Amino acid sequence: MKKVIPMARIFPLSNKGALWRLLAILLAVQSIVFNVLTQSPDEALLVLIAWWGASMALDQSLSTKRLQPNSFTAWVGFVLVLWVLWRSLLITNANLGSSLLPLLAGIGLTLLATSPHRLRPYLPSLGILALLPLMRVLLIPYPTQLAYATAWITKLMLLLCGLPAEVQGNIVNLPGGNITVASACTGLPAMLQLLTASLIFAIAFPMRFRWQNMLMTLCAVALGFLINGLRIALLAIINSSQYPSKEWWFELFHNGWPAWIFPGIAAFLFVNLYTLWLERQVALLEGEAS
Amino acid sequence: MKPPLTLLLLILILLSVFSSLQKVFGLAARAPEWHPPTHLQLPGYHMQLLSSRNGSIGRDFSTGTMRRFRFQSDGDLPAIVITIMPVNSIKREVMQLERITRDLPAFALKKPRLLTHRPADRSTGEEDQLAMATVNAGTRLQTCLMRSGVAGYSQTTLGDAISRDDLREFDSNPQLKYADYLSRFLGLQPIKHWECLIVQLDAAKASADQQALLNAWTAVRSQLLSAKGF
Repeated sequence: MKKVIPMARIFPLSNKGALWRLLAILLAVQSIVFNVLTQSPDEALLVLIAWWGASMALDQSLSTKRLQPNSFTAWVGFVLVLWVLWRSLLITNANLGSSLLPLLAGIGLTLLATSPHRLRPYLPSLGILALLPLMRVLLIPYPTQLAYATAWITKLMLLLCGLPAEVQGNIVNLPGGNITVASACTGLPAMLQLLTASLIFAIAFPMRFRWQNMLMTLCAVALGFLINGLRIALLAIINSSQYPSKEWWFELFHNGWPAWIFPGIAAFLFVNLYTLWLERQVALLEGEAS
Repeated sequence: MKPPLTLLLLILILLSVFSSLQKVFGLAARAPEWHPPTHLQLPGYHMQLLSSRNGSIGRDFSTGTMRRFRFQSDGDLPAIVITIMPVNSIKREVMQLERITRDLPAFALKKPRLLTHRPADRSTGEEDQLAMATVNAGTRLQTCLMRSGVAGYSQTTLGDAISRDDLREFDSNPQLKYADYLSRFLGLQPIKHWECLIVQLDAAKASADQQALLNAWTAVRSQLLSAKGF
């Protein structure tokens, strides 16, 4: 006899909490897809990090609680999410306003889940999504001083390698040739990605003391700066070398996929450093408790 | 009264899926509104229309009808082949000929030399940015002409021209800037798009006088800008 599986078991329509979580996942996917297709890779990566952080920061006990929006907030949330979906369809190229859409989608989702006086458990996640427009604004100026600082750290690294490097403003001189550190080559996007990641870690996996998180935030920015300096030092060495195909290598490490290895190394180091310190604190607390 | 929460959530779930799919499969530039003319004149040459090819719709940019003309000299100057094709993009950053021509073999240009040009009969306005290179033992000159009269090859020239045009809209009324940003953010304005006309001039001999190509470009430029429907 054929066994009939009730539709409700496959797709629990009566479980509003499950539907809400499904909607949250789909909105995150939609937001990431739209950013990958229309914004720069740096911005798309920030959006991916922010949605991951927002899900990590969401209080897990909320999954067992019932959705409790009042009539007004539910409709406002519905209209807000509807507008975000429609608006993202209209964005086709680099757009400053696009960084606000994940936050507005998050607010819409929150209003669909709860009433205004019970917002507290959702605030960390909304705070993480609010980092996106903040980082976007920070990304605009590309300060010249940062190019000078990058040239200076590059010189230090080259000197450590035993190469006679000199710096004039944002120009790094080596005997075989010089390179100019343009404002766009200061590694600012990578530094902001690491800054965002460190703030997400501080919210989702806080350390025992606040100063520890502040130290890790500074550490994240410094790592981004140092690793970018390493990349520029490598470019300076390639440029001043006598390799027959040095132009190809320069272009590869300047604009090609290997340029992404360096922010990846910085992120890898940061995550490992953070988890190592956090694990030591947990072990210390467990030791004290026993 | 309790809100119909299940229904609202289901509607949003379906629309989220639709929105993602629409972005993945539906993102495309629109077809160019400009069409190259069917007839051009060059003093001292007689024209022959070689071919026409329909355009295609693409994600980053769409192309319109491509037309090729051959100009045979009445004297002993080398023949010039002129290829014209409109492109349209919804991405401002795509508006650079060096990037567009990577996907268009007919317009391939290796290691071009960029030069600026302003003909003697035009004392005001922007200088044209032209790319010149040797292709198949001949000389090729290439640029992209915008409706505003700006002709450029690199993103610096075309992108700057687009930004200047955008800013010019706000010059007369500073308040408009904020109202415009707000209405743009709310999605109340139509999607912006940019068009330019790729113009390529080929001379059969590498030794062809650069001045002959520049003269031909000057003549073609004014005809394209004054042509009806352009």
